[in-house]
Amino acid sequence: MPEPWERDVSAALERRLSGLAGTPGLTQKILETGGKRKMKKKMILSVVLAALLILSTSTALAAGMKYSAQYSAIRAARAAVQEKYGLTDEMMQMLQPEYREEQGEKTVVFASPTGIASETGKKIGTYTVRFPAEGEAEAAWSHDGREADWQGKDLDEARVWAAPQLQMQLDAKAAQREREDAAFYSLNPGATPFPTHAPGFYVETEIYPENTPGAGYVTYEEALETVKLAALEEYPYLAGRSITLVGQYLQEEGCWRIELHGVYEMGEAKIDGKTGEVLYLNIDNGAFSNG
Amino acid sequence: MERPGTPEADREAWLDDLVRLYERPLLRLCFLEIGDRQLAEDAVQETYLKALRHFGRLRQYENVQGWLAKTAVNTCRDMRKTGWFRHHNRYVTPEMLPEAAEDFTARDESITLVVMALPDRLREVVLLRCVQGLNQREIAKLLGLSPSAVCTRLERARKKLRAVLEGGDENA
Repeated sequence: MPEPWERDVSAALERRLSGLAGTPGLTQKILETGGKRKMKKKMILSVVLAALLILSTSTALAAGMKYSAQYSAIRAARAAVQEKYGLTDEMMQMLQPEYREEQGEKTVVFASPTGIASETGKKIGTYTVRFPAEGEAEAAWSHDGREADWQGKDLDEARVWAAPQLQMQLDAKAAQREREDAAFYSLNPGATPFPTHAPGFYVETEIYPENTPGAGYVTYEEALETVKLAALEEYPYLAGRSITLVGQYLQEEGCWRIELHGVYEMGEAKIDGKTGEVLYLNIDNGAFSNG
Repeated sequence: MERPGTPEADREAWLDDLVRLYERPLLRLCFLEIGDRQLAEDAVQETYLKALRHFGRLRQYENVQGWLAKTAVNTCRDMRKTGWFRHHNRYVTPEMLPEAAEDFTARDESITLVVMALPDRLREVVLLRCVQGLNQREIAKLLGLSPSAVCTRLERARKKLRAVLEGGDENA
């Protein structure tokens, strides 16, 4: 039986989206397409880009962890941005990394999870780290040279958000969460405080047999252990948090995809099903989320 | 859902039934997932194309609705991974919503916008539950999660929707 809030949401969505009526003659359109793949131009572009992103399989061994070349580049890029622009670990969790490899050049781009076209995204800009074939990583910011726009200004006033404004956003978010929690628990005195678990890593998912990669591959338990170790190495503060891990094996990608959920954090890790390498790890601290 | 006739006629009748029964909820689901009507229509069409390719197997399948919903979610997920979508403004605003055919309240609109702004993994379970009407066990099976993981995600979503759900229908 749906809970009252689920019925409430369902009815609200039904009413507000009542104008979505569907495509006239959809059956015929599909039959005429005959099962051939239909792709929009913008989708084709992404497929081409994806084809360029064939990853190197060389590994980096650090503190017992195996990192793929792609993830090693992301780690190095984080360090380069932090060193040049003074962003803290927490501020880096306000950005999402994207690895690219085009014409032999590796690049990592960090952008706001709100999207670069959003108002906040525009203010934060993008940090791009290039890895030339020879020499050290080069970090650049899309707002380089616009320091006068942000220096000494608060969130509303600054048209460009650098480290000081990111810190203000973090502080504002923390205060907002505190206020909301206080209001909620004063209205619901019997509510169980969230999270209910003590600090540590908890596993929520039971894996169905059809979702496992088979003999000879990295097991679910091994993948979870790798994610825990990598997460603690990359984000040491997680040792004091309650994090739940939810995973599944992506047959098409040949990797384990493990989500990490904290009270506010949402993260994603990918572990190669054959080699056990960390392919990707990023934890968003929810500084721009609505919760 | 099988009908007598030629294999082609069978296929067409089967597809027609699926479109009639599930197109609207699938379209709502896809719109809420990607926030763009045109892309949502593309995602629905792509979902039915995939179904057609699996006609032989799917018509024996007991939970075709669930299969379609899962495929639609995955199709939207793939769309969100594209280079174009990464540069799409992810803030949702009332102007992005389609014109409604029925009366609605300001609260209905707020709930819709907050659902669209939920983190991906929470939004998926909310949509499978509230738009597709699947139960927690069906959602768990479709997403490869345990029922308790689905329950936890729904609880997290409820917490994020709390403020707007507690708001009254002041504009009703």
